Amino acid sequence: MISRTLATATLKPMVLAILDGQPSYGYRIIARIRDLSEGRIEWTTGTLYPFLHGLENEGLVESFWQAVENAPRRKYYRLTPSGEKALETERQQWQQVNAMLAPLLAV
Amino acid sequence: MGRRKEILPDDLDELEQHVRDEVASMVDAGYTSEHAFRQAMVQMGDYGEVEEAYRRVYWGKLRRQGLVGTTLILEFAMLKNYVTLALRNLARYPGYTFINVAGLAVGIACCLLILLFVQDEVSYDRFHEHADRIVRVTLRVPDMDRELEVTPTIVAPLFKRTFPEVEDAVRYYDVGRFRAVTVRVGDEAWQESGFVHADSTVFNVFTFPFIAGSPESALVRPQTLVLTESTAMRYFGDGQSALGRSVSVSGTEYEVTGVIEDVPANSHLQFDIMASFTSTHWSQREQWGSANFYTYLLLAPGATAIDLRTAMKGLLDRARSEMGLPPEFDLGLQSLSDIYLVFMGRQRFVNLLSAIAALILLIACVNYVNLATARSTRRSREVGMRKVLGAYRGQIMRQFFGESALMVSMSLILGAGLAVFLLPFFNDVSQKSMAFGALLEPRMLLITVGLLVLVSLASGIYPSLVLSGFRPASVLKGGRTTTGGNRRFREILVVFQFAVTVVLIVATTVVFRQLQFIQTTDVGFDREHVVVIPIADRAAFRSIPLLRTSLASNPAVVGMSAMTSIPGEMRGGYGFSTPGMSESDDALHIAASPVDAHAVDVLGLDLLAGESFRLPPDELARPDSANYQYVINESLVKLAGWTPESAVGQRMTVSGPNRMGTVVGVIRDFNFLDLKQDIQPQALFVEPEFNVLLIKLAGNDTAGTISDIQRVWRETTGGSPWEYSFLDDEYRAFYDAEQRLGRIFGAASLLAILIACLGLVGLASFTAEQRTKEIGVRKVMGAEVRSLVFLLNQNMTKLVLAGAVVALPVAWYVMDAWLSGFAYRTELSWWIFAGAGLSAAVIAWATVSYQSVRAATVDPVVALRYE
Repeated sequence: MISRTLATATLKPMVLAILDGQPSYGYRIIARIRDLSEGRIEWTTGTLYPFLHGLENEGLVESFWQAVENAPRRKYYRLTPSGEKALETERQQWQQVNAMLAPLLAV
Repeated sequence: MGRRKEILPDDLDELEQHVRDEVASMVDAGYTSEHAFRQAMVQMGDYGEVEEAYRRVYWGKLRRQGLVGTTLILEFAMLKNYVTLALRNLARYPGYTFINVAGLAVGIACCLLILLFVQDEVSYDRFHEHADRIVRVTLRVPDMDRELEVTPTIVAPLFKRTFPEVEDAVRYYDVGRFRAVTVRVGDEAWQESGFVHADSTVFNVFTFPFIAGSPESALVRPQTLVLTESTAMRYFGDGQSALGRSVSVSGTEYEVTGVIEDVPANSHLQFDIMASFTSTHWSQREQWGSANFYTYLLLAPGATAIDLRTAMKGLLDRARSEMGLPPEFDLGLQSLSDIYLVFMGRQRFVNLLSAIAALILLIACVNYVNLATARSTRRSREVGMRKVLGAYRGQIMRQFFGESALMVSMSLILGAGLAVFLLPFFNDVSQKSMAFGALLEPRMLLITVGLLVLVSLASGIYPSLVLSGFRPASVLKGGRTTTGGNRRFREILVVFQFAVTVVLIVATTVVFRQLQFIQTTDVGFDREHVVVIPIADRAAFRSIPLLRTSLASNPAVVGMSAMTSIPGEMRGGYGFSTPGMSESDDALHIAASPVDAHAVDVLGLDLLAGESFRLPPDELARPDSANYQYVINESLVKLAGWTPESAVGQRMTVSGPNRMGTVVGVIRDFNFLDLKQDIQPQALFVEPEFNVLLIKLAGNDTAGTISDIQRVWRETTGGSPWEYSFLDDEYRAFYDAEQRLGRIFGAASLLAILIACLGLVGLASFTAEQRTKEIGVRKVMGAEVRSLVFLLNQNMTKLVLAGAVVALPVAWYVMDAWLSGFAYRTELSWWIFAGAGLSAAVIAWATVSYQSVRAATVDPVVALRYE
């Protein structure tokens, strides 16, 4: 299990990356994170959605509603141009962190 | 958590979709849906954290959506959250909202108007400062099942002297009850029917504020009188200058010693001119006979009517033994507040109206309950989600109550507007002059608020119980729940609505048929083309013979007869006896009425034996006390044990030795009282005791003839006041109360039908929508529109017919009771009931069909794509 602090730190780049080039919705995002982390990062519904709304407030993502057959409408999120920029910044920072940690933590 | 304002409605949709996805994928993976659901709830996370997370992004979201201002305002509004939610839900289904608000508004308007009416009725006589201490003394008559409001002259002074419980007492003699008087001021003359005499103590007992003069001295001296303000205006142009002026009332000079404010409309005592009781000859003597006076007592503070009643016993016993009063002689007491409502029989009307208002409002509430529960499937998702998010049942109930309260408030505003708009019409129907301001009195406002709460509760409680009771797991899993009990309850309510409607339709029909019956039934006398002119003064009385000769040459005048009162009001009670009856036999109670010798011809009465009255040498002179002429009716013939033939020539009297006479003719019974009463034994006798003049016209050029008569009247009477009416109008006026009842029933049933149909439209459109898929499938399989409409209408029709079946016995019982108040009444034919049931069914059918046809004609492709 990955620690909560670390998981929280990865949340923003993860979500932005998942949304890169491909709009998605909350359930799918959580499922994707679960898959990628092989179950080691588990976001609760009640945390992820407010987080998405926060990104939306910051203008990094935008949402739109999509009709769904036989169920209520579904809210999709996609990256905005500034979201793409933010993703680029995140990527650079993670690469720097990675480059820094890799030799140190190499076995 | 659904109650948290930080979670916006859109967020709820998003979260719901999430839970659905979660459950669906877990079910796919082989879990039970129950387990999947519980898992989804765990996934939701810790309540406190979730709330905190949402709160952090809340204001940013509002800023983004430009909602900060609105939200801030709502922050300060009471029940802000419920109001937002409710408004949003109401706006989402405008048709549904319209049906509810319109129905409730009409119901509330109805209620407000009737509330005003009731308020006006119960406010009668309450304006007197000592209203709660005033009682009226009544006379108990053994033969009649009611008390008479008139008492002997001695009662007021004797009671005041004898009983410490009586602080003051007043005698009140209503001259206008018997005849109009002529008032002359200078050269002008008025005919007044509001002339009364009263003791000077009247102003100690009652509260009639003075504009000029003083209550202590106003009515002390003989030949003094007090005018109401508007009467003083009529006579003198203003209230102040009237004081000290002289007016002549039927030839007697009076001095104006006071001017009071006009008597309020809600007073059972109504008068324009009040003269001192000392002006009358009755004031000279206190006696137990001749009961013609109202007696009102002002009880001492702390004394009750019960105390006085006990105290009265001994005095009455003494009076009976010492004064030789009959053993049945007895007096009763009525509190002032009961006089109008109970004694004058208004309570029944008030109760009836209140019941109608309550029923209409109930029908409107039923609409709300029905539509709200019918829509419950639509809203079950919302409820489910709120529950998943941690909302308690109580919170959800409060939300639905909020919605119904909001809807009722909107309806109240609309209904109040409607009531203001309808008030003039209602005043017309109820013959009142109510102003809407009365509703703004604190007590009425309180009642109105109470009404609001009551209606909100009545319409909100069932839907909120049902809706908040949904189990989220089953709701979200299946998407819809319809509980059988829910539907059955709705059906019972529809049955109830239509039962009430059918009762009202039957009531309207029966009341109108009875009115029709009264109008067309043969009452035994001619009332067409008969002009009625009041004989108000001596001048008019003396000119009768001259008037007769002057009009004899007019071909448009068929005949003319003077009499005490018109048919329908011939109430005079007399004691019938014949010389053959022994001394110990009591005289038999019969009705009798003084007329002139022309009455039988002018009224067109049927002579069965003998002949009409012989013309006396002087028609204004009293006959010799042994030479009276009687024309008696069949009932009296039977009572006396005669046959019509043998009756002619018999000696008889209606008041001992004063009116001995001979029967000259026998007439067929005619309705000398209104049709509520059976025809009693009656005698007509010639005596110049005239209050009205009846002139029968040929019927062509009525207006021209009347102006001819008026000209002759002015010439012969030398300017007696001229007034006239038609006998058939007077006759119709006896049934004013019934006419009003008929109109009110008509309006009420119309409203009830309207509101019930509104509800049906809502239910029908809902059912049709629910069955869209089914209809699509049936159409694909070749069903015709006609059979589909039939299918959709079937259930509704059944409910309405069930309502009719429930209603008919109730309607029969109620209307039978009402009709029993008439001695002459129409039949309760079966077709009235069948017709009422059928018309309710047809109206309902037509209402529902519109929706059904719409649903049935939808392209099946569209229908099947639905959802």
